[in-house]
Amino acid sequence: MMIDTIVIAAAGNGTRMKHLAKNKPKHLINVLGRPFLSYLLANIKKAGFKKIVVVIGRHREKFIEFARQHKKQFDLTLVDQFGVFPESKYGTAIPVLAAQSALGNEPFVYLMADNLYGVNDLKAARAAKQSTIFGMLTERWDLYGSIEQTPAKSLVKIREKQASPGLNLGNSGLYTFYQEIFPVLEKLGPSPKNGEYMITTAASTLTKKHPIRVAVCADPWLDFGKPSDVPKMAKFLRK
Amino acid sequence: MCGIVAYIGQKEDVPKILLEGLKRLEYRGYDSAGLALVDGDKTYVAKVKREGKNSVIGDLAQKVSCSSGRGTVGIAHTRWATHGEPNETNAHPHTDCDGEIFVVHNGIVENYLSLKHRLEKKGHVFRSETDTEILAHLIEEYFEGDLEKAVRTALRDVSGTYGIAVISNRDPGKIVVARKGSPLGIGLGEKEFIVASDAAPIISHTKQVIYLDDGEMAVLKEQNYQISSIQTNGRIRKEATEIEWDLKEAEKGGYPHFMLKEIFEQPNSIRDSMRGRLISEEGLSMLGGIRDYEDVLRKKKNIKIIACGTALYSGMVGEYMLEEQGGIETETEFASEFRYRSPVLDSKHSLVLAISQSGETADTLAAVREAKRKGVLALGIVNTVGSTIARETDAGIYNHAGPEIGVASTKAFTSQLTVLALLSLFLGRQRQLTESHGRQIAEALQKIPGQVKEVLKQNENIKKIARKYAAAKNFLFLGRKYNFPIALEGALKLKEISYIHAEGYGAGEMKHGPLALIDENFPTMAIVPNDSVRDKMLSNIKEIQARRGKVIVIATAGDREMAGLVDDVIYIPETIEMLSPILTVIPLQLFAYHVAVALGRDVDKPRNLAKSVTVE
Repeated sequence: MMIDTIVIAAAGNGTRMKHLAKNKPKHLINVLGRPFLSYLLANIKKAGFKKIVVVIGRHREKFIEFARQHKKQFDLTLVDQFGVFPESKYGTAIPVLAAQSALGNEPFVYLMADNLYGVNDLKAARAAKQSTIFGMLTERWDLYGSIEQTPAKSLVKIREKQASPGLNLGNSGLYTFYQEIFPVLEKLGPSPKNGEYMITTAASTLTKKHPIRVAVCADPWLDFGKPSDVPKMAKFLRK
Repeated sequence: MCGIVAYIGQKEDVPKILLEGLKRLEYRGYDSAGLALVDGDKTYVAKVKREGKNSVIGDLAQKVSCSSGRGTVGIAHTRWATHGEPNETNAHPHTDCDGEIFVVHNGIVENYLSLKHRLEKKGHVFRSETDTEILAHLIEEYFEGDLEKAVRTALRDVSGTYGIAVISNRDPGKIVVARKGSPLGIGLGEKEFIVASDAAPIISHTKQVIYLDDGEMAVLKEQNYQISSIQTNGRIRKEATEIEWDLKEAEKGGYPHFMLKEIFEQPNSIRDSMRGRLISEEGLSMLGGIRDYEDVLRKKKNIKIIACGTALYSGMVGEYMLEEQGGIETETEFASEFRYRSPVLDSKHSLVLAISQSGETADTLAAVREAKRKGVLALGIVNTVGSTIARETDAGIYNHAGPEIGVASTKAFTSQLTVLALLSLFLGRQRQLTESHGRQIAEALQKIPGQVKEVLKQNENIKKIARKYAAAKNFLFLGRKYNFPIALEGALKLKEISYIHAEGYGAGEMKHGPLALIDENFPTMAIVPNDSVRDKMLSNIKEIQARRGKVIVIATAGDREMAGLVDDVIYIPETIEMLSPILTVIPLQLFAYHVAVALGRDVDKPRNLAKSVTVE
């Protein structure tokens, strides 16, 4: 039984993209003539997902326009995070809560819209039989957070800006979640450091009761967060 | 607007304390009222809807005395409806599924629909059409034994404004209160606390009050209280202030008249008219009340605005906005004229837009019925929820400006201008208005409440000018384009409350008659912001001065030429042309007010006039 639903978090502020994201969301910035998001969605479609839920917030009208223009290619379900929660309730865990009513009772894959995930990794996420977190080999855990796992490849916890013992596994931001995540999300409080509601905190809590499996990304992985990522992404896509 | 009272303490007759408190808040809202009491694990609730012209608090007192409601902790509410018709079910306090958590609320929960869907999926059952009921169920959802914790967690999911008080028999002996955007004061008594939306109910118990600021909440127990931040849990220490007013002053919030209070409320009432309705970055407005008619409205080719009095003048400003920004042919007409002649209307392409603060104005209502008889779509811009015009129009937009007590309209007028700007944005973006132009309008609109505050700071200056001219027997008000209707409104305000004869004119018409009236005894108020017709107005002013007429000018800050030209100038901040009326009318309201006070008039109840003209 493959998972058919994916939730994409695209409500973010795009603060690191600076001037490029002033009047449009960072996920819609053009690379090689097409909005970045269309490349991610193409991979998602190739991986076989049937229901694509995009959680939007800032610049919602631009996403609505994007969805309308690409109606024939992608059948998107849009959820406005700022319609469900106040803007002060912010963080990587909120899009999942906001999408809850669009999800029903099935498991789902969750990812951030500002990374280009490969088709193989997306397929692996679809095939996951339990809640799973995908890591990638990296030295830059200051950027991506680091995953600590047991020898049996169960998640222990995710650390922000700190190396974890063992393999250098960064958090790619790709997850498979089963319904057990929701009670954890509902009880989740804001981070004392920055007031955000983080999916990584929720995952670290969930794994204590229902061990989350750790998988490793097979495809190369690129993020799309700063202006210099645009030419980098273009170069990668040309190949 | 709504009024909230809450009490915890040792006094015996808690219902009496709550009812007396509500009586002092009745001016804030009076379409329905209710109270709830908790005594250990026992609860008691009573709610009533206003019948006819009765005092709703009186009716509630009757209901309560007929039963034996007792409690040591109580909350009470008097309502000015925003979501849900005025009736007993929609009246506060609202409660959760099991009737164990009680909430009274002043404000608007903007995301109440999505919160409601979430809760319904979890099995919650809702009884009313209000946004407030969601709060009771949300607190129930998060409740694990500690009421404060549940309220805090629930409020983090809430967008919008609130001043709330919560009690429960599942965690008795305490009241949890919180504030975001709606006022809340905690009166500190001898082993008792009385909470209220303003000082009026508190005064008879204590003069020591702590006013909560936005984002703060408090737990009140009989012996002590604790204030904390809603977002961060952090504890907060606040100083109590001493109330210096007496009761009459407290009802008017310290102002000598309701009209002055309402003039000064405008930064807030304008903000409330825009709340949740503007997407600045896309240059769009979101108007939930007319969303279902979006496609129908796109096809409309002409609009007929009908109204009476001050509301008509807002419609005239709206006419210019709808034509210039919206690109739709628009006409304004007095309702009393419209209904007695045979206007030409086309049911396919015409739209009738009725504007009324009370929603009960007889001529406007009749005009709406006439339009509907001809098969024309009718929209309403109305301040009173559930009023007749609101019910009989096909759809509409509520002002959300709160009840207006003063007979002469002030905050309802500026909120009508705000709503008309939003409507022009809505219809314009369906037609030829570009996104960047729309964004410009949206951004300028968002600055308006702060700018209104700036204008209000000139109150003392305007008072001085008013006293200079209080002896005038006649007055001429001049304006052009967007400010032509403001000249009409300024003259009306002066007439209404000071009884000085005043006439408003388009400055371009002055030379065709009124100029003959001008001499040193006939002063003029000229509205001359820095817009496309400023230079033409300048010539008009010079013509008047050549006939020895005195001129007071309303000009844009920084316009040095004006300062040199006339003796008295009142400055307003710079804004886009179509929004300048919202700023230029403020000095005219204050001018009329101060002249009337100088002459000893009854400002809130002028002779011969009624607040809502329900006769033809």
